[in-house]
Amino acid sequence: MAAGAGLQNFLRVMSMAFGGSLTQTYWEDAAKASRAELVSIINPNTPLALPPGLSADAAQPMFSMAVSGQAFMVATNHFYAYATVLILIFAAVVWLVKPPKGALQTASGH
Amino acid sequence: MTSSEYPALTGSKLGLSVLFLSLSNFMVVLDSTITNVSIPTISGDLGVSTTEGTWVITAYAVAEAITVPLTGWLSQRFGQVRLFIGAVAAFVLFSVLCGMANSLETLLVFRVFQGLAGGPLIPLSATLLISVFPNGKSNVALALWGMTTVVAPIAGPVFGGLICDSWTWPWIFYINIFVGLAVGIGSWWIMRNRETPTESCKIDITGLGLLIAFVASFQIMLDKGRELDWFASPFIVGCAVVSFVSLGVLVIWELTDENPVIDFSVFASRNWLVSTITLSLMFGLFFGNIVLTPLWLQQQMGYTALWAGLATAPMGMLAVATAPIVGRLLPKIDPRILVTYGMVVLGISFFMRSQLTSQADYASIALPMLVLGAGVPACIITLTIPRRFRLAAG
Repeated sequence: MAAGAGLQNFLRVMSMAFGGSLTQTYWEDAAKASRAELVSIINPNTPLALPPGLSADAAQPMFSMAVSGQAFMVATNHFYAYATVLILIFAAVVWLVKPPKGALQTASGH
Repeated sequence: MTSSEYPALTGSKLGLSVLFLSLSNFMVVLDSTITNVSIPTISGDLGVSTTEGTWVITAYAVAEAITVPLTGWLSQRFGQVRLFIGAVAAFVLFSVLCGMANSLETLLVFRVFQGLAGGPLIPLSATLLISVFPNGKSNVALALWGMTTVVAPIAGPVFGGLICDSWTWPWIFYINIFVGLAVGIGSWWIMRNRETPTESCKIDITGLGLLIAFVASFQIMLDKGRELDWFASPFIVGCAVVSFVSLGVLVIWELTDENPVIDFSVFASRNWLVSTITLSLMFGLFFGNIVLTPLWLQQQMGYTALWAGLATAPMGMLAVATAPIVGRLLPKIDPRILVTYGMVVLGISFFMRSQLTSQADYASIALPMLVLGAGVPACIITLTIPRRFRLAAG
């Protein structure tokens, strides 16, 4: 077993576990923060415009869920905005590889 | 590589061994994402929160990460073919036990064992694939293996959603019975006479212990941290200290040990280091996206497991279409250009995702996924195939 390939698989699988976990942590934290932000701009004195057939008791949880939904949407969008920046940085990292030597066509096993 | 002592296989035997070996890697990698869309279902069924439910994903990946580096030692000790068959059998056994679990704790324990059994199959399937191909064709073998690594994580959510919505969640584990038995029996029949020589060699127990301590404590810190408010919790601080210290000692220990579990000397190769770091970073982000999308769709957008899977599925189309093109371009184009192309395509997809609103329809979620597929093989296959970057795998 080649040491290089084994270690590469190890690091790849490990960063998969870490990446999955970190993403979820970021997402939940960002959603909490953006919910707090959204809630802070709601004027509590504004009367709820109730759709017909909906009681005030039912409207409040519904409104709360709508705010949560938007908070998670903002968090999701932020995650992908950061992901866009990160992936472009990773693309820059690969240029630290030394350029391949000689004619590329002859280097293959074809 | 020790596997070239046997002549390459030909004809139907070559075809079947390629099928079984690819399928084994496919099955193991598939299982890392097949649970992603099933987390809400499993959590609901076992009466836990989805935050705890995601342990089902990470426990498996972490366990895999621990046995992947052990593959070298295990195959020297038992022989590659015997290890392969044994790992497939254990994988099937623990898959069945996962399906039968009736609490989160038992599911997590069996998930860890399933990951431990699956880990060696990832590098071993690549090594055995190379060994059944003729000498000059190892790049074909590696391209096939890379292909299963690309397609399996994409297929996972689709299969998971389909199974969860049509049957019950235990079947996402029970399907491994059929795949595993076919792979195990088939490869035994073809490769039973191709066993590699064994020798009793010493295992670096200290290194292994340090490795487990590092990976486990770091992952527990990440997963438990968000429940316990990070460093406000003494438990999380403890995990952080253990992982930091064990990593430090591990590096020092492995540099001095004669038969290290992890051979850090390959770090000296700059190209290996750069491509491995890039691959790992890219995979971490890619996996984060694969974990997040189904959770968001199911919890916030009202998708069923099946539709969450179907929303991620379009990624597979262009991935399958572009993988052979990448394989053909690899010998001709500067690999850095290929990787940059792949990363930029991923970036475009992520940017599209960052512009969505909660009124987003299926198409506006599926389209960025379709785009994503066009970049994934260029990143994974280019960074995985060793020779191009002169990796230590040589």
